[in-house]
Amino acid sequence: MKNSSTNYVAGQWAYRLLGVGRWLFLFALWGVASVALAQERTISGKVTSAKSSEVLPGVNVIVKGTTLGTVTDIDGNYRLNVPESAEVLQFSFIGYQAIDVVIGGQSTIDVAMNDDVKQLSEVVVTAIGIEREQRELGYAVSTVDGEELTKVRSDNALNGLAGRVPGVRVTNQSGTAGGSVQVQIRGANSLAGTSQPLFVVDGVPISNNAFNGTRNDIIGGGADVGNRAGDLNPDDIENISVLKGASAVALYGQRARDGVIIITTKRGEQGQASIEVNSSLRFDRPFRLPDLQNEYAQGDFGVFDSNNFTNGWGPRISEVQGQNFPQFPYNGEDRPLQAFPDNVSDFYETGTTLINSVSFGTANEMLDFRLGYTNLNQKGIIPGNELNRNTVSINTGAQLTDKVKARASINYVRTEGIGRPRQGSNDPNLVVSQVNGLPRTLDTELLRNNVIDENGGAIGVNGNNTSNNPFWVVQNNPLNNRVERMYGNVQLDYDPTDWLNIMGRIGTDFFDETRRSIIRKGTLNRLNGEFDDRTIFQRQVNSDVIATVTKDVTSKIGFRGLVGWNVNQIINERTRVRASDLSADNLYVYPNANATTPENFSNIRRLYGVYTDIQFDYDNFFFVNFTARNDWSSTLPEENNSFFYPGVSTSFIFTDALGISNNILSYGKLRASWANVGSDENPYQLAFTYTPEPDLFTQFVADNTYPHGGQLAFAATNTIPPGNSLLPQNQSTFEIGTELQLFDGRVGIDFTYYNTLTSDQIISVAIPQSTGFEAVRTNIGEVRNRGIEALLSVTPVQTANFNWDMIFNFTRNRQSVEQLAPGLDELALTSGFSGLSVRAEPGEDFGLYGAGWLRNDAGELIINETTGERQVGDRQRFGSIFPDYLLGIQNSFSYKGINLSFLIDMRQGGVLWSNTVQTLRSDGLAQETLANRGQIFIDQGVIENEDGSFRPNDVPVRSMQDFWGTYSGASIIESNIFDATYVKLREVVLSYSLPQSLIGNSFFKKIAIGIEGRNLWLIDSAVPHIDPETNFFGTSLIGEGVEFNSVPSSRSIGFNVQLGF
Amino acid sequence: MITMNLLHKTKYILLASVLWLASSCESDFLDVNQDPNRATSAEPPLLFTGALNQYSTNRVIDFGPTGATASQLWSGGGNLGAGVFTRPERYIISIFSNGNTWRTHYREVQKNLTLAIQGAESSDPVNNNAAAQCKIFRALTFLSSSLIWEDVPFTEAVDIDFETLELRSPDPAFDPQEQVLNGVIGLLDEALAQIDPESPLAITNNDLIFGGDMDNWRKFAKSLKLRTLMIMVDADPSKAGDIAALIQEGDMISSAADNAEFPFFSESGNRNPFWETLNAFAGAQNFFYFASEAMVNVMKKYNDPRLGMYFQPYPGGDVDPNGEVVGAPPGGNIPADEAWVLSTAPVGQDGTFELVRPNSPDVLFSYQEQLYLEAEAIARGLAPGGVAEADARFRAATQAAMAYRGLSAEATDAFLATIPPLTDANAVEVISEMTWIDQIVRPLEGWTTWRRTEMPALELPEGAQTTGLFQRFQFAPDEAAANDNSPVDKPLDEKMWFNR
Repeated sequence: MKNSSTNYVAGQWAYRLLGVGRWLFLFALWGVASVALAQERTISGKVTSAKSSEVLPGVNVIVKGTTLGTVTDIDGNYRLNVPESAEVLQFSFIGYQAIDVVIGGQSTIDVAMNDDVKQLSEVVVTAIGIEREQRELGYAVSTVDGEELTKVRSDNALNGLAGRVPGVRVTNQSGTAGGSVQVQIRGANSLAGTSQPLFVVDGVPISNNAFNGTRNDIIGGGADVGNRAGDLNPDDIENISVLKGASAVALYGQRARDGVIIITTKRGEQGQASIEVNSSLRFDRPFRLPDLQNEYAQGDFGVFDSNNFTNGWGPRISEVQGQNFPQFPYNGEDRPLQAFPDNVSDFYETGTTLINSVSFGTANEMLDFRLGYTNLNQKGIIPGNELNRNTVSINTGAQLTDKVKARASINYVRTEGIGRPRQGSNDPNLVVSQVNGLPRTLDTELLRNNVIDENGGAIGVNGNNTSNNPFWVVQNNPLNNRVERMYGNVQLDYDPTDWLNIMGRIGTDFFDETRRSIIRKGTLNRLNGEFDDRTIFQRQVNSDVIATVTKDVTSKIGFRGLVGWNVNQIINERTRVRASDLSADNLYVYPNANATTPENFSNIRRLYGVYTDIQFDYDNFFFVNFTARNDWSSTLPEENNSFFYPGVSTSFIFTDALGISNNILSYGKLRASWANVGSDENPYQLAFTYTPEPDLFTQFVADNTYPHGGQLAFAATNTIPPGNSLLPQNQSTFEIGTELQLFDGRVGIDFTYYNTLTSDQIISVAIPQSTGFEAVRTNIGEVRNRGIEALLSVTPVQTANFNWDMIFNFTRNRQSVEQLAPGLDELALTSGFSGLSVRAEPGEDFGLYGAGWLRNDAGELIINETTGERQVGDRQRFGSIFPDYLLGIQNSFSYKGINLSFLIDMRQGGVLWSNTVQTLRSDGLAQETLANRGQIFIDQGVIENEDGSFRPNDVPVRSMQDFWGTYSGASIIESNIFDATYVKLREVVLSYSLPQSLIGNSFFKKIAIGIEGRNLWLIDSAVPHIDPETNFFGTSLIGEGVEFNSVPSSRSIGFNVQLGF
Repeated sequence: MITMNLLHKTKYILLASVLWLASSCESDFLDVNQDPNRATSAEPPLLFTGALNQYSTNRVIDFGPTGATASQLWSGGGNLGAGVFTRPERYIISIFSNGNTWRTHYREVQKNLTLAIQGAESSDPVNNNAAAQCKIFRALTFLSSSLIWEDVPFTEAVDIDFETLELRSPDPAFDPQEQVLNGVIGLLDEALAQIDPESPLAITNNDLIFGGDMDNWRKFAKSLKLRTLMIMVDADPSKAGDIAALIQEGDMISSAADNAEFPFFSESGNRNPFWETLNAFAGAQNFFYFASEAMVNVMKKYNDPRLGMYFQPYPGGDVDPNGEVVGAPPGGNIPADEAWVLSTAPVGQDGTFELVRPNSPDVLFSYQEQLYLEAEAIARGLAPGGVAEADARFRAATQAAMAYRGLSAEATDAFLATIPPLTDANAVEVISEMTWIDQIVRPLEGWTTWRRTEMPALELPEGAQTTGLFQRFQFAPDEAAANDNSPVDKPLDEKMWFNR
């Protein structure tokens, strides 16, 4: 890294700390003042576990009915100043039953707390924000505590789910700062789009929009612009509930088909007013860069060539010492060749991420309030790539009367992405492929220092000035976006009697995003300069009114029933202006462009639904639950726009029913459920329409635009619409599972089997273009996903001071396409590169398809007799794009206040195709291309005789450049398909909470420091050169298993300080 | 008091929200599915502009360089050039160029013109001229499709009931080339019969070729008939009579002013994409389209004065601009200091004849092509007149061709003086070679002229995937995958019906 930028980073950091420090100081004064007001008498004591007699640190001790309280220190001791009027002390701690102790005249109160059956009576948030005890649920719900998300801080809260939740797969889409993260729950269900879950914050759905233009926009130099779930601030999250199956999500209706991520934000807590400060500094380096050869220079067939140089097929550097060659920056001074082994790595910077959050919270019986502010500043590993995010959140509730409660939460997020690198192909701004393709003899320092010539023009990296210097691109051609977003809701609860609750809640989520992609005048291959502006606006309004009745039928039979009414509306508005052929340099206003093409788009979708959820329980060990919902959607034909879907689930705590309670089995539950979910179509898909054309496609260059010669043009739709025959899609899920607690709670098992069938899918089926159309939109196709999810938690060691916990998290999903349209053998889900495609085929899961090598019936490679090279054969399937299973293993060790945990994440199976590897090999840059250079090489395989028989190949290849050119050429897919299995050390956290005895009477309530590491070690992978965990398609396109010049992911190490006041 | 008030208010708020929910239950709440971004109908002229532009843009940049390098009208320049232009020279055809062309012909042109014809014929009063314009263009497009892929859907193409949206032919059959070309003639005859010279109705401003002049459309349609018949006559000698009759009748394209050209403009966004590619990648310098050895050799054989106009030195090399023009060998490499490229800059007398200009039109039919076709027909005895008449039309054609490139009449006359009168022995060879030279930036016509006459003699490119020369595209992968009636692909070097 250059000195100046180091200083800049350090300066920025200091500046931000100063800024935060001012706030800290103010809040600190406030905290001290409130402590000083409350001094009257002192009570102290020790809290232990009734069962094991171990001391319990961290127990909450409060004067009941007040906000006054403390927590026990590392030795289980507490000391609290209470007013004379204080009567009762309340002790509470997660996993233990709360105890109230009358103070009387005591000044020392020691308490032994009894175990609560941890987790099992834990309250979880389920659909529509309904809180249920875990034991009641007939389906699997996983919960992740907000604390898990902030231990190892990431710019994206969703990263915290990786490896922690069975049935959930979290994939980073690129190494771009603020890049998108895909979450997939129980496999991909859809043939028509991505299977992304619904995100719900405090009971109201929010957008996870990932709009990134058309498929062509994305594959031709699109950047990873992130997805809107990335706006969630980990510091504001109390917990995340993951609802997986149809039973769990039925009340949300169609939008929840692919699961629901329910986020509950933090609230002010009872007790003293508190301030929490959390600061993290993290450093990033590329996780994995290609293994390159360092022996050969650029050129062709051993001859040096400075013009056409994106390859390493030139002379051996050691063999041409003493000779001089024209080299970058082509100033006429020829130089000897010298390898720069680190020139690729030298391009990347050390990324930094600084996250500072401060929150203020308080609560009493009438009111709770929390205000949080978080600032995130991330500098990516690509020079110029930056992410800034500011989040303000307010969450407050009030008991207005004894029957009426009100609650409101509001979140404001401003996300700014700067210099997002382009990926894919056919774009002069592809930095990553450019850097990978640098000659091995090019010093990155020279590249950095020679961006423009004395006339201000770009200096190309090659002799004939046709390839851009990557530093020119990152300095001049940024792709920036900025999102201003607000989401929140208000809720009123009214309890006219003790058995009836009426709740009304209305929420909204809206954001305004602007994007600008700039190509400066003078950029090679786009000499005239252009820029492309987009604005994206989305607003969602959602309201529910729910009446809930809770009443015991008999002393043994309980009843809870609700009816609800939901209305939802989403509008989208987008504009785009492309401006090309710029006159003045560096001026990005429309009048400076010789051609501008404006476009605009809007849509609206509306839906309302009624739903009910009825539950009976018998003696708190048997629960049965019925759900039903009917939706009416604006996007379906009027005659088919209503759809109904029921569900039933049951939970049976057999240990309670049978009176089992011993050291071996303390808790056992069986659950089963079945449910249906219907879903609708996108807006405006029913009628035959004509589009006013903004432009028309031209290969190689920017599209030609209308008006042409002063005339406009229209074109009819290319998809035959379904008219009024379209039906809603349907998904049904059956699942069974069990939850067990064994050996005094030291072993926990949670196991689920599920089977989901998504049918009547609404998809566009390709038809011959000679019909004049390319697709017909219809209900067709079934996809089944079935699998198991298992969570095993074990505590191998548990002593007074030392704990070792392990969690094994296993996910296996088997997808199979059950049927497509009659007569349709396969359906291309996405395609585009050299015949590579992701396809659905009945009986298989989604797979990668492309050209394989020509083989005979015995499976031997058929070699071309003239060239000695392999030959391209027919299209074939290379395997599933999905893993066979995922396994996460988390170990955590705690010794007094020190906690060490690490997470190993493993993916088994599936395939990946890499364009980066393909290019490095055909260009002669990959390490493996050194083999056999300058020697005679005969490939394995056979040659076909005239009579059709085969003889072993005896024809040497003409050169290794020819061999690799064919082996790793553009028309063959097979040679760069890899097993996508990997084992990664995903996270390591070492944290230390200072004991109360050390903090003592300082105004800190909590001091914790930590070191965190993420994406640290690729323990095992069959994919060379790149991180096997990338997906070029991003979250807005169906398909994965393809890498295409993706920005490398990063390895990060960070430091974290948490302060509580 | 306060709490009571709050309680009451809460009730009202709840009541109000229930009412809002209830009101949203009205049927018009859901009645929002009318697309504000697209229209439910479109006037024929608007569909016409789009179809024409799609067709010509594809011809110029998608099909264009592929067809031109595969047929040796140009060279891709080997190592000096870009892969996308050198691969077709070795008969490796990009699935994009292939698929884009198919898609343009059927999805863009045939469908939208079918809809435009339907609109024109169902309007009141019926717009017969508009329907005729669309039919002529459909015929041109079917002819092009068949010349690229041989057997293509014709009778069952775009066969949909637009009322019910039912496809009558979900897997359109591929008609044999003979049937397609006869169909093209039938469609042209239908259009000619439908032209109503009395009617003021026609596609006018949106007709960027002739501005709605139906005299021009009539001549263009007849010339297209002649071109089609000349393509068919080797395989179907019975077409000779039609050819003779057409030439006798005349009323075809009869001056450069009658040329059928789709225009591009110098304004950004409307430029010839062939030029725009050079502009965007290399500041309008030509690094991609090279002189081919075959073209240069034929031009040298005739001492063609256009040699110095067509080509200029490779801008990345160090070639003497006054030196001898050298073409790159087919499929092979050429050193940077010897290579010549298609001219983009004025170097000749008046600077108007460079081949690649921002506003170069896509020439669909030219006056010189008309005359060369007539000369050939007469020379071959397909029409009366004998070799002397053929020679006269050949010279008129060459004058038109030279004038089109801006060569002076004196220079043209001087050149023609070097060409001895055509004889029965050499007439077809000279005519077709001069036609081929004229068609250097009209790849489909140039390729077809060579396939029809097999002149000039071409050599198999280095690295070609076949043993014979390039005759056809394989079927576009998307169509082949989706259409159960798609025939098995024939080898790239297997001749089509018309020149078998």
